Amino acid sequence: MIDAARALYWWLDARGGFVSNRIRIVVTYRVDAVVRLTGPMLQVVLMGALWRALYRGETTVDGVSLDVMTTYVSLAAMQQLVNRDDTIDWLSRRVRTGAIGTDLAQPVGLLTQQVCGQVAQLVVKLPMVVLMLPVSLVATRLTAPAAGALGPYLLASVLGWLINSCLNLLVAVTCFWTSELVGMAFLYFVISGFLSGALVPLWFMPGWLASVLGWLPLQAVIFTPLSIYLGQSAGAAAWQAVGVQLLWLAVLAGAVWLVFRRAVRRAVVHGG
Amino acid sequence: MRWSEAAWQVRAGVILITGAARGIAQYRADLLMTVLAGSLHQGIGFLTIWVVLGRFHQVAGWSVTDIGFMYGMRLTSHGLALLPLNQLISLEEYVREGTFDRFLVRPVNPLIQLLSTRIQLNTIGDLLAGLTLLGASMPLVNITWTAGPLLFLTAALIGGALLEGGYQLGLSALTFRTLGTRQIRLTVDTVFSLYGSYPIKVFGRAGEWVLTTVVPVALVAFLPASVLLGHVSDLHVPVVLGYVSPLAGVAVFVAASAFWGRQLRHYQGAGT
Repeated sequence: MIDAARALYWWLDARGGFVSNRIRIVVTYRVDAVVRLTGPMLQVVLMGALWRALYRGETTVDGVSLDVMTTYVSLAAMQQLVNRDDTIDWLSRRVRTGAIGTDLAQPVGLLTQQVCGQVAQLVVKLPMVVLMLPVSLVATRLTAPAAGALGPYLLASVLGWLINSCLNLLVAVTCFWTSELVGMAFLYFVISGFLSGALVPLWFMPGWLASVLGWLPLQAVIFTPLSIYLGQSAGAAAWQAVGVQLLWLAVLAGAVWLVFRRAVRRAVVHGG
Repeated sequence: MRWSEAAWQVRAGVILITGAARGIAQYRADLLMTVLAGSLHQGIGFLTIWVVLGRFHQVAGWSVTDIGFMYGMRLTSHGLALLPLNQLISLEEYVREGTFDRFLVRPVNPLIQLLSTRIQLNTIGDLLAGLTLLGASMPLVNITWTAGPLLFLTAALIGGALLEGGYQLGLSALTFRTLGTRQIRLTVDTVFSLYGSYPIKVFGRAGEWVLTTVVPVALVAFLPASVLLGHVSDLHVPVVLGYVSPLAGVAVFVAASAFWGRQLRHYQGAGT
């Protein structure tokens, strides 16, 4: 019993150490982090204005009201901010510089270290999102979640974050094979912005595009939680969307675990 | 400066830039990847508005081809401006570490030396995306391409490039005094990129004036495109400003160059 408690303590302590270490790194560059909010803020103001102009005084288009649309824009920018993560840059830099050697010698596995890094970024970014609220309120008039949607929305957001973390890990781990991932993190961010529905909701996309995106995991990151929040997907449909998220999470988490196991064996340590 | 002296400076610049070009030609795969990433990043911005206009058909009276044309103009000007000037991004490093010294002890103009240290390839991607979009939309818009419109388009592209380049050069010059201008430059860059490609009416009265005076991105593509496309009935400024907008770029760039020359005197070195 005492042994089990001690083992658990060690398990938690080791991971907590990694998380707080990474938090410290992010906090060191806190001014950078806050300034980085200007991009998303400018985007929210732009998209808010754009949707108002597109609606041209009409209250609803295809059953979607202007308030729902501008709320979507604001929340999407915040979700995107929370989901943006530096795992790809971090891991490829470790491989390029050879620091991966020391990482592999740690008592905590390489995959766990990356997950700790992702948790650390989440801890720093969640409070930062609050700073975007004033801009969102002025530029887009945020509406409250649809009746009974808050619980499923929060669940779907957590699942969306987990799916995004898996996707980031999968892109990041390719650096063990290619050893060069310049611009990859940026590219992933750009592509995922569109494919996740953060820029345009799937309900305003042409039918064929919406169905293609519906089969991809990225729409589960941002579009699913937002359409639940806004009541566009409610009741059984909402739970079905959460089910799809769970399926993706299972598949992607399995893939991450398998690929990381292979990657560690392939690791080439540069430098001495 | 005498003409022979100016010609000598230009020749020196060409020699230096050729060396830099030879340097990057060593990494062809990386070159292709970066150019692609740049194009894709800019392409997604247009893809977004294209998808939205598939459902809404027009925004502030502009059709998707009109927007595509303006988007192409803005992007081409952006590429033309940054292709020679993007090395300004590393000015801060040179000034902070005092390595700017080396540019001052050589006979070639310090700005030319700075700009020819390295070639950043992602701007070629921007230029390619801009030219593609412009080329694709030119036959689709309601303009008869006689010599007049073609000349005006060329002038507008160069004027727009000078305007954006002038802003970046002027802001960079402040680095000699403040040591840090990176964030403000990035923010201005974001405003140019995000707000330069939509009919300005979208942003309301206040927005219209900010984007015409403080950060005059409206003069880059919106005003000249309005004149070319005949969208002049609801302009917020006299139409004549649309016709002379390319000259604004020349004025801004000349002023910025003079400002750079003056600020350069405030460079203090790292004091070692």
